[in-house]
Amino acid sequence: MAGKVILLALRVALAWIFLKAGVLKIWDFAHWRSATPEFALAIQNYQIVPWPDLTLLFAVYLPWLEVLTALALFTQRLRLGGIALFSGLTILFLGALVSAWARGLDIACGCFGKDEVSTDFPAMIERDLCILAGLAVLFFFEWRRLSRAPASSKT
Amino acid sequence: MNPARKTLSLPLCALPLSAAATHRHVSLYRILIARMIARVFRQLAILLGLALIPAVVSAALQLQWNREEPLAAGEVRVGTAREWGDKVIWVDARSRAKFEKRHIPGAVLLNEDEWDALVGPFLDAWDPDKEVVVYCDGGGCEASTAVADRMREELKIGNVHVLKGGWNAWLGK
Repeated sequence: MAGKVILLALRVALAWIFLKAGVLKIWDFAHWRSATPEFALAIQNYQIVPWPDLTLLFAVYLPWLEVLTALALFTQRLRLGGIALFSGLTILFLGALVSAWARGLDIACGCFGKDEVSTDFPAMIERDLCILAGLAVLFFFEWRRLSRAPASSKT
Repeated sequence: MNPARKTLSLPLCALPLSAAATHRHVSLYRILIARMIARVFRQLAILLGLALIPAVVSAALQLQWNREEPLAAGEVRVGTAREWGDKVIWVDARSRAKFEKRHIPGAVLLNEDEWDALVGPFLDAWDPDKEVVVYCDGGGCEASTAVADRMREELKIGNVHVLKGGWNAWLGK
């Protein structure tokens, strides 16, 4: 029982991180307008994506992916995929941070919309590693739950 | 275990197994892993596809908004500013690093971080008969608005404009 509560708390905490990150990249609540241009600028600052059109594509698509992934953690049918996607995106962001740090770029993370201006790379990398650790725990228990389920269960 | 309920659960077993039993367990594990991997990819595909729907709608709406977005007070579009030609003093409100990397030809650097040091050179370049157009990165960047406000209040310069869309608009993005 305690284990289930802990797992639920972990799911809620991780989902909240991604939900907040996604929503703040979609809409700028302070100025009540779309936050896509700022996120596109943040992606551009990493100097990883060479084409402006692709940057814009990521800026429009990634936040919605984050929101859906967060919601997927609360559905049994999509939870495992959500955890895998969450992990993949976190590794992607981690790679971008490490790359920017290695090249000495002084940029805003862009992880939580335009208000996040911190460039404390070690702290952000540590944060992402903690998220990955939490996801690994969720993945393990979800795998175990599904491996014990009837083989005829769908999705 | 109910034989009618086919499962792939494999409890940990401390008892030594025969070779045949071990082989059967290994095969079952392989089937389990293959099914789980297929399940993960199936769910991934669903999530990636579902996210496309709001993303496409969002992109379409934003394109619509950008076409219709009116100018705020004190703003000027890049096309209008270009038409002013020589009668414009461009002011770059971004960081020195970005300015030195690339800026609008002839622009003067004047940002809030180095205001005291840079205001002198700006005033040397300023001509009251020319329009002052301040720009920063674009999108939601507010540095140009802040610098423009300071020019109006502290330097009493009236003909100051903020470039709508900023540097990105100049680059044509």
